[in-house]
Amino acid sequence: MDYKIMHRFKSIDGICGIFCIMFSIFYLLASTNIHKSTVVTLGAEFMPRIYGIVLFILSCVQIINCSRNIQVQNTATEARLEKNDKRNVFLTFLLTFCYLGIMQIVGFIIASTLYFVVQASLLSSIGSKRRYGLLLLVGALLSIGSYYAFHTVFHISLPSGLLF
Amino acid sequence: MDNFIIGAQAVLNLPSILLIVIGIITGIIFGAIPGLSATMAIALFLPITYGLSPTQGIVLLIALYVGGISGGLISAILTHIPGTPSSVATCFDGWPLTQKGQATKALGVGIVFSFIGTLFSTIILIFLSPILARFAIKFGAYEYFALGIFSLSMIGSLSGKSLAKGISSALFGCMFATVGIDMIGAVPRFSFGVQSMKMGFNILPVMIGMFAVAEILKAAEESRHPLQSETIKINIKGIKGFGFSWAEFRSQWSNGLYSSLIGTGIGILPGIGGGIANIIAYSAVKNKSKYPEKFGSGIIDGVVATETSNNAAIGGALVPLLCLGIPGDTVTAMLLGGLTLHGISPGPLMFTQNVDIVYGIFIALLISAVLMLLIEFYGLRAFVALLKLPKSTLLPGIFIFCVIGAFGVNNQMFDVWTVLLFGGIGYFFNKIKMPTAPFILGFIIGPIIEVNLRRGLMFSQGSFAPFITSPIATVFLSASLLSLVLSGIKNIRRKMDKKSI
Repeated sequence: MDYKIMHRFKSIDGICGIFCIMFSIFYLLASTNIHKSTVVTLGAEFMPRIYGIVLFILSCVQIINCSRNIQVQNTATEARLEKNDKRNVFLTFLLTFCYLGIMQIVGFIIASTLYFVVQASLLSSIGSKRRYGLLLLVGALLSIGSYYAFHTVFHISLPSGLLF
Repeated sequence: MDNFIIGAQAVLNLPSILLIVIGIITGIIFGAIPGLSATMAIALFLPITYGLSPTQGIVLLIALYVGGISGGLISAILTHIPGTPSSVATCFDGWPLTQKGQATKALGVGIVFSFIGTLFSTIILIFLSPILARFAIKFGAYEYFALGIFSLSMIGSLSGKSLAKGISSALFGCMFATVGIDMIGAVPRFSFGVQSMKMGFNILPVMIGMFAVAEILKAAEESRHPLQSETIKINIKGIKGFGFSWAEFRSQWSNGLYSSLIGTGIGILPGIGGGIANIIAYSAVKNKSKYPEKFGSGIIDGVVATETSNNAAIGGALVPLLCLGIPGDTVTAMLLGGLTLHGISPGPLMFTQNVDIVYGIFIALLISAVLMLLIEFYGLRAFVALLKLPKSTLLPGIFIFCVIGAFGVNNQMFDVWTVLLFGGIGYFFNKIKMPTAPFILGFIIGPIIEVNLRRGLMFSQGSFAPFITSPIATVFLSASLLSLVLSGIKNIRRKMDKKSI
């Protein structure tokens, strides 16, 4: 693949176009599984197909536009996705996943307290002092307070887990 | 006038006023915390009203409604996370104002114009409700379909630099809204055998994910930057009143009136509420503006448009409820429940049989609007002080409430997982520079368009002709076409200007 084409697909618009094409194909394929109704004029599969086809066409337009507008000099800067901390994003996503995953096992209070402490540490900037004791206290108070407020006053049964 | 005196006698007493104060404060808190909404506040308080008199019960629910819708602006402006679907568009200019150190001004403008929106729609409700209700019931499947298309045509002004990306984003919204049982034929779609997915995705977890989780992920990305400050610097000292000048207020007068009309108009139509009103008003004001390029950079016009319209939708939504017994949105559906709980059937007869309740509601709306203004005015500096909390503490705290809110929608973990899914999608959208507002618009409007298109075709036995021949539908479809053509021309002009530069 030559330099120009490589940059074409590395540019944000190119990535966006490819993602949209892939999603529209997946969506259109999945729409073939929708049960066709003979009772109503337009079945349940009608609108999903319209959406899928329109998105597919728009994605093609985006890719064509992207390749037309390509200017190697500009693309090199555009293509460079912002070099921020991707590791921290991944860890945050993983932490949220674990938080929701363990909530039903350990309960809302424990899971939320742990989440609060770890997430706050992840979000704090470089060089700032991390007071784990204080974070634990705030996290625990917030979790316990909100659990009881919603459980006793509003009767929302948040996962109780190990504690109850 | 006699009716007003009857209404005032029912509401102007200490217990009712106290209930309004409690309702407003609770509503603001529910509205301000992302994940908790006005709908949830009313749903949670509905059983409590059983022990109150009918007037007191409905007065409390009205106060929760007004406070809940207005409270959404606080988190939208201060944290870039909308408190309720009605304040999604408030983020567009509210957050940039906060970043510029003008959070007090943004909040002040939002509060005052929320008050004006509520007041305007209440006056309309009092004096024009029977006429407007008769107009609203003329809306059938063809008209709703056309209105849906018109709303979607507003994408142009929400798309940012690329119209194609804006439309794609709206299509994604429409696509995700198709997940679950089809509303016409009861056929499951895209559930992939997962039982919970048959219920589809609820707007609240979708919105929380797209905005709150995406914001946390963005903060995580930026947190390791050595120059990144954990708090936003705001100077509260020296700020008087609501934080904006009389000249600024006067400059927004026509904008506020225009947005009030849009909000009230959209609120009146059953099935469409503040969630759509704020986005449409924002787009309409931007299109009308002499400086549309400044929208999104932090100007008060955007905040005025969204906050006036979402509160104006309150009075609008009460028009079909009180006059016809038809709830305009989920909140008014709960209010209907609150009324029927006390043996009151909303409809034309209510104006003669339950004068105290009807005029009590009008008086309660007016009192709630004034109290909302006062409570939020005195809370203004406290809200802004929240920004002194470091982001690293504030965002995880907000997310815990988001989890509670998402869980509270249906008391199931599926909605909480939905938050994470849409958080990932929202973050990815930010990365590929795809705007998220059209996604939300598509997610809300998509089902309205689909259901009414299919329902209309069933009525017309497969003919598309009534979609064009209905006068109301024709007006909306023509306006949509015009809006798209104008957006296209603007895009071409912008590209030509760029080339010439």
